[in-house]
Amino acid sequence: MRFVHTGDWQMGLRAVQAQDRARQVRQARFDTARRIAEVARRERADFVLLAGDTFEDHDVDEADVERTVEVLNRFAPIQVYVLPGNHDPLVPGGVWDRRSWRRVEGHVHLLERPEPLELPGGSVLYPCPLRQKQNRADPTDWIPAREAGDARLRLGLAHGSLRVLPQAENFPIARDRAETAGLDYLALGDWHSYRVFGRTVYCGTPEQTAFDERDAGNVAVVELTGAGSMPQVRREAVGQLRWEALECRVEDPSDVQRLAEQLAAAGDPARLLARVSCRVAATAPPEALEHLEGLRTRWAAEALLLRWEAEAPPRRLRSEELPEGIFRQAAEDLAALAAGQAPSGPAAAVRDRDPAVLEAARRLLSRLAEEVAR
Amino acid sequence: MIIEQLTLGHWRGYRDPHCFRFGPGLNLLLGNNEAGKSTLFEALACLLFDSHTGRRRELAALQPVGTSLAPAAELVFSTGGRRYKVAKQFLEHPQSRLWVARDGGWELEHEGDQADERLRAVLGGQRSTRVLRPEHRGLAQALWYLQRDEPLPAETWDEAVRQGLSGLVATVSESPAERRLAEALERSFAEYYTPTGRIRTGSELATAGAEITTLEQELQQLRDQAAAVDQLRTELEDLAARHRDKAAELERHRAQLPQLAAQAEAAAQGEQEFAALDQRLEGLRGEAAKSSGVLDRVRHRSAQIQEKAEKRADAQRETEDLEEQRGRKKSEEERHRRQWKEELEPELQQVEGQIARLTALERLLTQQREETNLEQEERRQAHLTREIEAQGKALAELLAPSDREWGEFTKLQRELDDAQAQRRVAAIRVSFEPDDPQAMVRSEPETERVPGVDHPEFLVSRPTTFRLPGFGRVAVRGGGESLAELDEKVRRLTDAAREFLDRFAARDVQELSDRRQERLERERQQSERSRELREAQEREPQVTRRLAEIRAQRAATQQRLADGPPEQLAWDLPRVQQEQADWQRRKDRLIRDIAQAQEWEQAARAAAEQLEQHRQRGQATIIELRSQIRSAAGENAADLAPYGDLDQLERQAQAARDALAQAEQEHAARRAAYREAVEAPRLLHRQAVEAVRSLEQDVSELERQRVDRQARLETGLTEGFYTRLPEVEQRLEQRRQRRLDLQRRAEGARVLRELVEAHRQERSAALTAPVGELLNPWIATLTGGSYDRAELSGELLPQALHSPRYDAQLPVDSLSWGTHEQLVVLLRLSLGWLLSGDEPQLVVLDDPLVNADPLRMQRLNLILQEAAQRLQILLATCDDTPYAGQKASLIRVPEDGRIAAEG
Repeated sequence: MRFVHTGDWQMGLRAVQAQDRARQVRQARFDTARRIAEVARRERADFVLLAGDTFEDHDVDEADVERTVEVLNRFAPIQVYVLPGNHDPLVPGGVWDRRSWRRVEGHVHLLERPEPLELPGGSVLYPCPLRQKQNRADPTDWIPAREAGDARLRLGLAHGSLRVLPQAENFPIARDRAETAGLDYLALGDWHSYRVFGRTVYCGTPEQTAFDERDAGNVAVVELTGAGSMPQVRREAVGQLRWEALECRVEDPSDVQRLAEQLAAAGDPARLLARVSCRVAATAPPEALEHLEGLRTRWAAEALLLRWEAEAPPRRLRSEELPEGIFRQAAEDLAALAAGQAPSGPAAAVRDRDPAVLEAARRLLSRLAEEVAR
Repeated sequence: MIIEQLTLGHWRGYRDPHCFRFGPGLNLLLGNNEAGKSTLFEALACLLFDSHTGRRRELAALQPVGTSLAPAAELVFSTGGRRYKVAKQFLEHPQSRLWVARDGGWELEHEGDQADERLRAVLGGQRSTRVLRPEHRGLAQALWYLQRDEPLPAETWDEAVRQGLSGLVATVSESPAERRLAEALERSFAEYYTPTGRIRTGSELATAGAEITTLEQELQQLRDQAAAVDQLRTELEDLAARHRDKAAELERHRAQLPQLAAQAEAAAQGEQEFAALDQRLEGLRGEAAKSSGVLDRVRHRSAQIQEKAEKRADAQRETEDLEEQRGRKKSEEERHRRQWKEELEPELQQVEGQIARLTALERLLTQQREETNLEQEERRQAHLTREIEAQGKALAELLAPSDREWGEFTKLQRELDDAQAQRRVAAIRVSFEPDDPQAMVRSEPETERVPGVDHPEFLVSRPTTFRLPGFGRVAVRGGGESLAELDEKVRRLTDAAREFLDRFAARDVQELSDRRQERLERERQQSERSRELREAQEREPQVTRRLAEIRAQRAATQQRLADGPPEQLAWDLPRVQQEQADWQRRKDRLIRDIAQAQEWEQAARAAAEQLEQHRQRGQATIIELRSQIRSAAGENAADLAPYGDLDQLERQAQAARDALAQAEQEHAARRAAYREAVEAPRLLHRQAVEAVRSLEQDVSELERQRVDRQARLETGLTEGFYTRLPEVEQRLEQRRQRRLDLQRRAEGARVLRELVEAHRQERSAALTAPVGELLNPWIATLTGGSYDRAELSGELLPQALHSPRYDAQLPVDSLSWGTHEQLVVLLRLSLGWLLSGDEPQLVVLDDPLVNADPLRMQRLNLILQEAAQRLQILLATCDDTPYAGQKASLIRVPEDGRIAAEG
């Protein structure tokens, strides 16, 4: 028996980190779901398990529900078993009560009750649908142990945190649930990274949702040969977008070059969402700054998203650059205030002002001096 | 810089070379108007600061009038520890040369433009082809005050002045670079703020605020939508729970229904038996009700008949009583009518006849009085007529002059008096004063004696001899010849007067005058009588005719009264009027009595009519009651017909009631058993059915609500707030961050502007303080303490004077011209003092103190004396009197150019 284990589609994702590219990120998840359908067909899967969080929230836009239904209908005739997760629990008025959801075809089964379900081929599925967004109860607790003489393949389908980490509190799942319940495979959702713990498997989200996620963008293709045998689990990459969070410190042009290489290695710029945190040293030569600015301009144009968070210290004006007189005195006052000193004289009147405002005054004076010098 | 010697030639009035020498301290340049004082200053300025090749058109004015001579000048001066000599020639063959003193002689240092440049380097100033411009004179702009110059520069001092002063306070005035920075700062400030510091409308900062407000509103709307959806979802959860509970309860009730239905069905047998009992009871109730109903109706009617019969008897009695009352009222009416008609009215006629007679009597008395009056008037008028006629006759007989004649006589008399007076004046007056006052003086011929004189005095108009007792004769031979004409005139006039008197048989003028007065008196009396007669005739015209008329009227009235008692004709008017009043009062009383009697008659008539109406209504009531009694008796007879009579009816009704009571007792006994066997199972079944129906409705309602909430929830979701919300939040956050950045930048611009301004003010204060320290005491001295300090701008230009008395600033624009001029002089002296470091500076003042009053002048002298200790002052004046006592070099500027210097 072969099936595809997926989950955490989180359709309608807000994708706040993607800023103005959030729409493209949402769109990519539908494309990825279509790719999963293609994988299922290609792998001749008997069915597909969707381990919760199909939707990001009950309030997702109607269009997102409609398009999700349209994608799920594409899986036909492969049976798809959909489990409500903590993002889309089974509650009155939830996303599963939407009229648009009712347009799913017969091969799509919403698992509403924790009760055994016969699967094609004589195996049995123990689904653990969630009815709340948060709960400290183990949703797999109800799964009965394998009875003596039961030779069927027993599959568990649940959404929660496997108790491998001490702080797993929302819908915790016993780490040895598969063994104690005699399950041949426990398909889990909730974690976005691909993780395999023996018979217990997190397939992860098929499409990354944020910069700080790892091992995302996959589904699990599972093959079971018989009750008690170890499942053959294969990771299939389906994700399309690449989220890269890069950090660098620029002291000379070679640092900029290295950053350029990292960006180039991220693949197709049209599918890249990059966050670059760049600290520019005050001693960085002008050519490095120029190169850095060129890099920023190029990737801002090419990448799907470039979040450029460069910290460049402002060029400090030397007091000799100002004509002797009141402006030079003002510059010296501001410098003294920035250094935490308390100058007397005219500057005393402004020493209690917001440091950010004093810094703005200092920058303005530098800019004016440059303008006048030009 | 100090100057030592100036030589001019071909310069305006100075056609020939003139040399002026200047001493240290105060130099008074004394000369009349147009003497050439200002020309000297002009030459000094041109020589030191203007290019020798300056504009010809401007320099041409320097030439002596009517010549083409080239103006030239030479000056010896010291500055920077060196002595210089400069000589320039303008217009024709212009040249400029500068010497420096070395080793006791002059060494030519520069020529031409180089000499000009070097001078500028030494003295400051600016290169220009224009001449005589104060702004090109370097430091001298502040120290020289020439007549053609403005008192103070419009905006700022020349850079050289500023530089010169800046050295004193070890700071630098605003340089061009600073000005550019200041302008750039102002532009930056203006990007955010208005000049008054408000956020500029339309600026990005203002726009950001508006945009944030819009986004906040949009966000709030989206959050409201999300909250509404959440609320609907909460309601849906609640509805689902209630639906679950209700459905379970419904199911439970439905399960009980079949058993209850079977129990209700089993109760049907008992129900039939009880129905037969019910039917019998109903029959008995009908019978009892019918007989009782008839009995009640008959009894009711009988009671009504009795009651109406009593009412009819009462009505009958009342009608009769009303008839009797009406009769009494009619009698009363007749009695009142007879009283006024037969008693009061005849008496009233009699009284009215008496009043008419008294009225006629009163008229008779009035006519008699009028007749008497008319008779008196007739007699008076006749008397007046006679008097007037007698007066006319006497007047005609009186011999007296008329007005015209009297006029002629008085004129003649005046002429005579005049002639006699002339004669008395012209005549020789001979006066005697004998020792014996009793002595008589006689004249020959007789001579006119002057009247009114104590001693004898005579008017002598011809040779006359006077005899004096005890003395002899005195002959007056001559004199008086010239009086002959006057004597003749007096005689002629005397004759004429005599003739006039004779005409009126008057002995003298007095008599004639008396006659005249008598005539006038008679005429006046005649006129008076005529006027009285005229007035009497106007007052009583045609008195005779009227007298005849009134006599006829009186006779008629007497005729009318002839039949009355004769003694009445002897009554006087008061008696008649008293009688009239008495009879009138009686008449009034009778009229009131008649009205009262008529009123009573009317009231009695109305009461009788009202009683008649009541009686008629009572009669109608009696008829109606009689009819009703008859009808009720008929109905009772019809009802009793089936039963015989009333007694039989009562017996039958009692029997029916007894049968019903027995049946009801039996029915009640069967009732409890019926309830238990039939009603209880049915009630339970009905209640169960009702409960099921109610629960079904509840479940249906909950379902309806669920569908409704679900529909609303989906409607809310179709608005797509879920993805919009973070987008708007993100945009709002960006805008807020942008606004914060802009606010910081704007505040930064404000802070920088404040800081720069504070430094500017500090510098300004540092610059103006030393000037103020010198200037302010001088101002206090000059104005006697009226002002104690000047407010100086950063450019060292006076803005206002401070009055300690009022603690107020008075703008310099509002000062008097004289005070303003004096302030300008003091400022220049102060600046000169400050600029005099190692060497004194030259201050030139071209007669600016001409408007100072003597007291101010005295104070200015003290100030000049003090300033001259450190300055070389060149002061032009046309009058040196105010400067008497000053230790000064006096330089006269005579028209001939003669040089005179006095210590």
